[in-house]
Amino acid sequence: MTFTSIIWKELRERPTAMITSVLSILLGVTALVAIRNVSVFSEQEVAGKLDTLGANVLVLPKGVTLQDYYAADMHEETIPEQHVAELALAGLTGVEGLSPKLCVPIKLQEKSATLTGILPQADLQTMAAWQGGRLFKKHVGCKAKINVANAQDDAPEALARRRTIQELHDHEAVIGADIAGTLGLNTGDAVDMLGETFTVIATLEPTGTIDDTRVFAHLHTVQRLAGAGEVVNVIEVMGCCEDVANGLVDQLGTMLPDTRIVTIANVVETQVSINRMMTRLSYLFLAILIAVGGASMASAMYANVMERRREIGTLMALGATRRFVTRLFLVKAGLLGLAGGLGGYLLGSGLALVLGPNFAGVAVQPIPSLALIAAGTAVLVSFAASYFPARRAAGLDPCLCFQEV
Amino acid sequence: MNLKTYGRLRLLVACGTLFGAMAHCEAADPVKTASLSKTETSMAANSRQEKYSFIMFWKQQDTATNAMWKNLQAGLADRSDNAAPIAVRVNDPAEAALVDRFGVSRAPMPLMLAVAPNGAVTASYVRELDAKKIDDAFVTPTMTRCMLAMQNRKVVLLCVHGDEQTAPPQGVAEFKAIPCYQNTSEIVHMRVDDPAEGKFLSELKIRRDSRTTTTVFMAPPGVMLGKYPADVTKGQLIAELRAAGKGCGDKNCKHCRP
Repeated sequence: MTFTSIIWKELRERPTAMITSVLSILLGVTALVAIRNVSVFSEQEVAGKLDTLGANVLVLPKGVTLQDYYAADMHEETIPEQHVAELALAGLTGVEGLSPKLCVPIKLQEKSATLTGILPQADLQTMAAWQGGRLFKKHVGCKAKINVANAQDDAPEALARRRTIQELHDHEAVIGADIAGTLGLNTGDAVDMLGETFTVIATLEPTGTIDDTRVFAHLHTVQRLAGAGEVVNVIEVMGCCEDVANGLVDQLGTMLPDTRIVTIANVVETQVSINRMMTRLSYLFLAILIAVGGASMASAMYANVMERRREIGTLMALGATRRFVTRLFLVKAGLLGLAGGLGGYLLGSGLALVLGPNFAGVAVQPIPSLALIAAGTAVLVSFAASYFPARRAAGLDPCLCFQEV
Repeated sequence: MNLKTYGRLRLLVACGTLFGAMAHCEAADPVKTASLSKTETSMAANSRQEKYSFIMFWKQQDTATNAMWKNLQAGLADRSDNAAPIAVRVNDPAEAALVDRFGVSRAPMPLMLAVAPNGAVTASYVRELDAKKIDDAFVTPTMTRCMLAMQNRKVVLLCVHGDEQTAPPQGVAEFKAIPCYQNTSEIVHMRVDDPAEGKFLSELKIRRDSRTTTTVFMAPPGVMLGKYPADVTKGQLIAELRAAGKGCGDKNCKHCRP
């Protein structure tokens, strides 16, 4: 019999012992991989949001709480549209753009949709360009963004990317990707909304946000049709950079005391807290894995050594060295650890695929590098737990073992 | 019919045609004039006389409105040669086109806009107005040209001439000739020794004793992109615009190759 065949034979003859040894490590690795997987993607999403929206500030009605930036206007509360002009005329340093929105739920060809009134930038840019006898705007810190006519950025399709639209006339509409797909709407089609006919001037690319289910029209048209008056649900303020945006918060709060000013950092605060908690949880599970899994493995190995005393005695009598016996137990432990680690990785990744969207609201994919970490950790824990049992087995006296026969 | 009678008939027809045409023109002018509101007519007249129009938009005749109007009239009392105050009620149907043109229907009121003779808005003030703000609204003629271009979302290449040159530097002319930028750029000329441009030269930090042409590249909404000597190339200008995030949109555009 070879070294390897001895190990395989032993594993096959004592499957229960094998399973119980592996189980505790497998469960610990499963929990570790699932939590780590979800928290990595959640952190990436937060970082992505901060990258694309980090310089943006939201002006909301007081008392409105916000969980999703992209759904900032999905509430019943309103603020006067006059605030938009106040911000545009104030010439605040670092304000690159303003995008007020009013959201009205509608039925479009029997399907529920969200009609979003948005003010085109052409209506705002003239105001924003007025100064108090100065040609150049004050700007400190980062590079100021310029606003030159540009076919690509001025196209209505750019709304998905830039979150603003350059031109939008009274009875024109821009359709989100999901709605356009569901209703089969294309550029040039006519669509009836709230009793009036609109022309579709563009359909947007999918964004993966709630904007895919929106229909965008001119703010003043939506206000008139909804009978809402001169109000908006939110004003999105595009800052030039995060540092300036954070400084804007105080200025905006002073200018508009009847509103609530929210930065992206505030919006993602909850998610950041959850991510932090999940990271700590994953370390806790690692500790539990080491403690419980290791203890369980050690206990199983000790039991295995006692059970196989005669076998060990026989091997040593036949010439097996202490080193050989030690290696026998350690390699077996290593194999069990590897099985537990890889099994735990597969189970944990599968669990993350379910937990991610349902628990953390993020799409998750398996992370290959976690397999290495999971397997490596499990193997190390198994080695550590099995070292002393293996040394004990190697220290057995064959004569004493045979005495019990 | 003899020739004499025929000739008189022709003369009669010609006169009739002439008078008819004149009548049509006279009829057309009142129609065109009638489509302009009282304010727009005043603004047009001010513009012809090279006067600023200080337009105060108001909604309700409250304390703030009365105070602003009073300050405006007082501030322009000594400037009747180059400015005129105009009050516009935003809810007046006759002024709807003007209100729409400036997009102030939802703006806080009262709101004062200073409009230069060329149509550029040189200043806007909300609710409060004083003598200093009125003074600040008067800018140099070149500034009004730059402001108007930028308010129309064009980049401006301001050529400040300190020498005998009146044409733009070659690089500037080449940039303007690029199809991508023909309609989105404006070349404006100015001389360093123009006494009316002192304020602007200080803002640009260009010395009056400069003996060369400096090109100031600026973009809306009032961003100074750079200052260049006379040998600026179109490639430098294109690169500057791209660095500011606004190339023509086509990375492979053959016109925009340096």
